Amino acid sequence: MISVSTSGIKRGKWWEYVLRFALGGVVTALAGVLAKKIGPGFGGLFLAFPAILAASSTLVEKHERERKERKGMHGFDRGRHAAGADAAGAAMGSVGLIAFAVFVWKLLPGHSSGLVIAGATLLWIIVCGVVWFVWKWNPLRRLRSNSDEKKLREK
Amino acid sequence: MFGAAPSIALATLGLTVVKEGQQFAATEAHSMIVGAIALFAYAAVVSYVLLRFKFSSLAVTLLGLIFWFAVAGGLWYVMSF
Repeated sequence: MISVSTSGIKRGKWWEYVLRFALGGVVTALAGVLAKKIGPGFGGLFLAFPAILAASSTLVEKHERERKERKGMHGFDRGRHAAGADAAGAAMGSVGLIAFAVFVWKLLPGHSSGLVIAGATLLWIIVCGVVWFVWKWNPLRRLRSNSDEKKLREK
Repeated sequence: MFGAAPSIALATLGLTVVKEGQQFAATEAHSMIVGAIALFAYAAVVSYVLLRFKFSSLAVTLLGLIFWFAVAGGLWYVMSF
């Protein structure tokens, strides 16, 4: 079952949210400056710059490590694995980001900007959901385990 | 997944459409495809290294940015021909 938990928000300190916001703002400004100076073809690359991922992975590692250490255990591995899982999730999210970019590239000229950008955001959510579901369901692993079971029964 | 949310893209594209027009923003979105492919490669490599080796996430994510630049720059250069 899918549920929403807001405990992660309470765990974060205010400066951590400011840091993420500031990094996003700096990259937004940089993308705009580069697009103006060098051209939109180059500036557009930075619309998918991993600034937020870099910040969030380190914060996730810190929170998980501190949680373990509060219980008297060494938290380095736990923190590292949590950050790795966070990055794996971002890899899934980037598939949605590719779909977002294609949608905007193809439909923005000649259509309502607000609707296209809103539609692209919705598409990102849908594609991310599909990718996550496929990863969770993992049809290849199920096929492999079904065929292993079949071989065992035949023996 | 929200580490790859289109938050930067939403802000930048919105501002670009107002200041430079739709075609300019569409060209940025075209290049964003390359950036997003590089982001996929970056996130996959960072995840692999963090899950299998004992490096801190700060070091891996920062050094991984070099990888993102290399992939994005290389693909953009090839695409520009």
